[in-house]
This record gives sequence, C-alpha cells and structure tokens, in this order.
Amino acid sequence: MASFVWLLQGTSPTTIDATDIIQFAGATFDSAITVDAYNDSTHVESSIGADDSSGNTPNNVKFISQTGGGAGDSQADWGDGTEDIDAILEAECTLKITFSHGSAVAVTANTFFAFDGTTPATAPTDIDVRAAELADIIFTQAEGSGSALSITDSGSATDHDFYILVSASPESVGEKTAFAFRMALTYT
Amino acid sequence: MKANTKFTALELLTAAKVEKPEEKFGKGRVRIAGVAGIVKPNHLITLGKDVKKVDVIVGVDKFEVVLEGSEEVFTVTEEAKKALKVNKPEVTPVVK
Repeated sequence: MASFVWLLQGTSPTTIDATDIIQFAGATFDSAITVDAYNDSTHVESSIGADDSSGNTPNNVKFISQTGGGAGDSQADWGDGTEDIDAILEAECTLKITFSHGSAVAVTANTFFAFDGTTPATAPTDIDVRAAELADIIFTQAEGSGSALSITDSGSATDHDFYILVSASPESVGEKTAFAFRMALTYT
Repeated sequence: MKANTKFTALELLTAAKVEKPEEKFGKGRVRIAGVAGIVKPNHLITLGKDVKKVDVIVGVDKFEVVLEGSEEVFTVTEEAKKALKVNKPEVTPVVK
C-alpha cells in the first residue's frame, strides 16, 4: 500500500490534507501579494478557510532571482536574506513530501509541478511558480506537467522524503484558485 | 559512505568495488538500489535516512555496499554537486 504525506514545514510541521489549500500570501495569512512580487508567507488553509498552520511558524521561501547568484545559481530568501538556493537546509524547505510503501521500493521518474487544478498539463492561471528540490542550484518554472521539476531518483526504501522549495507570484490582481500542486512518480 | 546523502552512480559503483566502474555505463545493465536503466556515471541517486545497504547489479554480477549509518543533515557529495551543475535545467520561461 502506497501513501503520501505532505507537510508544510516550520517550527512544527503542518499536515496538508487533500482538501486543504497551500496559501501563498503577503506578510500575513489571507493578505494579498502585489502583482509580480513573490510570497512573504506560506500557510495551510483548511477547506473552511481556517489558518491550520497558525502557531506552527510555517517556513517561507521567497523567489529572488533565477540566475543572479554565484555562478548563475538561483537565489531565494528563506528568512536569512538573499542566498543561493543550494545553501538551504532540509528543515528550511517549504514542503516535505513523504512517499511510503509497505515494502521497500525505488522511486524514479519523480516530478513535481503546479497546474490549473483540472488538467495536469495546463499551467495555473496567472501565476508564476518556481520550485526546486533540496540541493538544486537552479529553480524550475514548474507550471504544467510538461515543465515539471525533476526530482532525483531515490534508492530502495520504505519511506522516501522529498524536500521542495516553492514560491509563487500573481501575474494579475485577484485571488488565484485555478492552482494546485501534484507529485507524480514511479515506484518499483 | 552514509545514508541521507545524494550520490552519483559512479561513486556507488566505486564503493561496491566494481572493477573499472567508469567503463560500465551505457554498455550493459546497471541497477543501483533498485534504480534501473542507469546509463550515465553522473546519474544522481538519493539514499534516504533509513537505508542500510545498497544492492548494485552490473550486467549479471551482484555487489553490495553497506552504509555506515546516516548523515544527521542531508548531504550532497562533491561529485554529486558537480553533476547538479552539469545537469542543471535550461532556463526556459513557460509560454502561456
């Protein structure tokens, strides 16, 4: 039996259930992000609009530049100022996604991407999304299955932890709801 | 060699004491920790925190690497860092 657990990391992790929303916001829960700016906070919002991550001091990774760092690396700010993204530690990443299986399996062809919530190949509407795996040196504009972030193969084990940095920016005014994340992988 | 680390395939073949490991890629079957179809020495493989040993199959020969515990913090070997630079994705904006 295979299963996924998605967590928004922080001082304490917040479980992201299937009906929950990962909310990218301005400085606080439910606050807006200026068009073309990136998230200053990240939260887990329940299906009834509650801030499930309140009290857990959730992590936030803010995209700064695609190639502006040392040797053309991507840069982000995860609370310590602007840094090259390969300096981030696992506990500082936005998401921890654990794939588990009752017997040991290897994981390959693993991808992570944002989509419109309906069709995996379709990019989310009016949002710029940047994602990277822990230790990556550059962000991927992970919008639609055809532009997905590629995750490193994982050797045979019962639990596989994947640490993801993710940041988002609105390209127009208004709340963005045609927006979801998916991880797709092969296990053998 | 410890778990909770990202390695290259060549590092793992070397640790398994495969003879002339760099010559094995693209010529026959290379399977590491259950990951099949490895054809490049800089193919990256993450070994999670709980991995104790790694099975390596090259052609019809089987090898094993026993790990010496797990890194406290996720680690990327220097060779894997080089591979990440070589394999970094093209910066191509998504057309909407």
